[in-house]
Amino acid sequence: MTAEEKKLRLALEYAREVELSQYIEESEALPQPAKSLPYYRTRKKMLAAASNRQQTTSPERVNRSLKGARKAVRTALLVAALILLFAVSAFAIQQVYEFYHVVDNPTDSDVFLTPDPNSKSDLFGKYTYIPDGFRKTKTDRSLWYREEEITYENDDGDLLVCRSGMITPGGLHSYDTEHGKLQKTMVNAHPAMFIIIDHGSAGNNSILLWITGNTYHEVSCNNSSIEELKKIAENRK
Amino acid sequence: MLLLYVERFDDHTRDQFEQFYDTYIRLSEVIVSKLIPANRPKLREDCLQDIWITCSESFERILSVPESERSKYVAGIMRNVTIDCFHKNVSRDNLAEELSEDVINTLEDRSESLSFLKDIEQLDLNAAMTKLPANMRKALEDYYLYDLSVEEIAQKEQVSTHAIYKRIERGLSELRLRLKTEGGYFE
Repeated sequence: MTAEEKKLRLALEYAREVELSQYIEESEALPQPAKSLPYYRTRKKMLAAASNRQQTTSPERVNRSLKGARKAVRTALLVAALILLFAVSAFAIQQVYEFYHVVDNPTDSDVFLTPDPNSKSDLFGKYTYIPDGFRKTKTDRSLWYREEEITYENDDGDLLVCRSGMITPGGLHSYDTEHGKLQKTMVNAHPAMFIIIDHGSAGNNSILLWITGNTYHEVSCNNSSIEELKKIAENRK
Repeated sequence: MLLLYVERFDDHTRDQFEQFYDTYIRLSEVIVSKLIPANRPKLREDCLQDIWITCSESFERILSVPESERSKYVAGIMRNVTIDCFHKNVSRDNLAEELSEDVINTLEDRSESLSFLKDIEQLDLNAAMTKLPANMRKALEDYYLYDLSVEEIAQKEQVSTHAIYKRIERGLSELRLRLKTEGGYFE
């Protein structure tokens, strides 16, 4: 090979490199095309995506997927209608349900409790909020009668009694409603009743009564407000 | 259009080729726009199609090239295909004229045909060569760089040997002219 030929070869190689580099630089400077394929980490995913693409592009598949979509919409509407029906009926039951009724007795007033069909029983629980100054003095539990009674007391001698128990058939609870006032309320979305019994010079006794399933819960305290009792009740875990 | 090229591939290769197509479609467009005049839009389309057919045919070879060098390799393929396509469709008429036996003999004798490079600096030659149109350089590359015979080039490009001689002669004379006007070393 002559020196001239060698020179020419080098120049041709150089020019070719420069030319190709220019093309590559120019193409890289151009904006990305709209269609860009994603990077698949595994071959399986790539094949799945390819088969999906084929499915979506084929006219038969498109028709089939349209049919499928219509069917899915119909099913969704049916399910939605059923949920609506169920919600309306549950709401109706909630509206009709009265968890107690009072019989006016000449000597006393008796309150009959009815289990709540809309919730589950929770007999044993923990009161996570107790007003300042009260300390636990007594806990009575009877598994046989399915009852629990926790007593708290403060330095002034005020008693806070938290009681839970099973509602017996035709369950009867005695409250002196002739000297008391009944007020409907709610505790954590459960129906509840607030009773204030006036003991004259001895002061008031406040009772908050609510039902979960076939269990009643009762929080009573001397001279306590409805808010305070509700807070105790709502913080029962 | 892509479907034409990927039809014969299996699923995996088809996806690879689709990714390859997306990566290099801009490069092919740049090369075609550089080498084919804008007043020949149909020829540009044909060239693009030729490029992708060639790429699909030599896809396995392309994949075997390391990723760092693949861009240049692919750009080289695209450029060669584009120039070939251009020659097939455009330059054939211009090359119809016959060359004299003397010119052919001079070209055959490489030392004689390249004697004008004797006193030329390599840097000047490089600069002049980069300014030479790519389609003229292609014939020189085939003949001098890849050491293909005129018959082989003619067979590959499906043209007469005279046409190849003519291209080489034109390339050298253009190079000589550029060295004369720009380099100043050529007498």
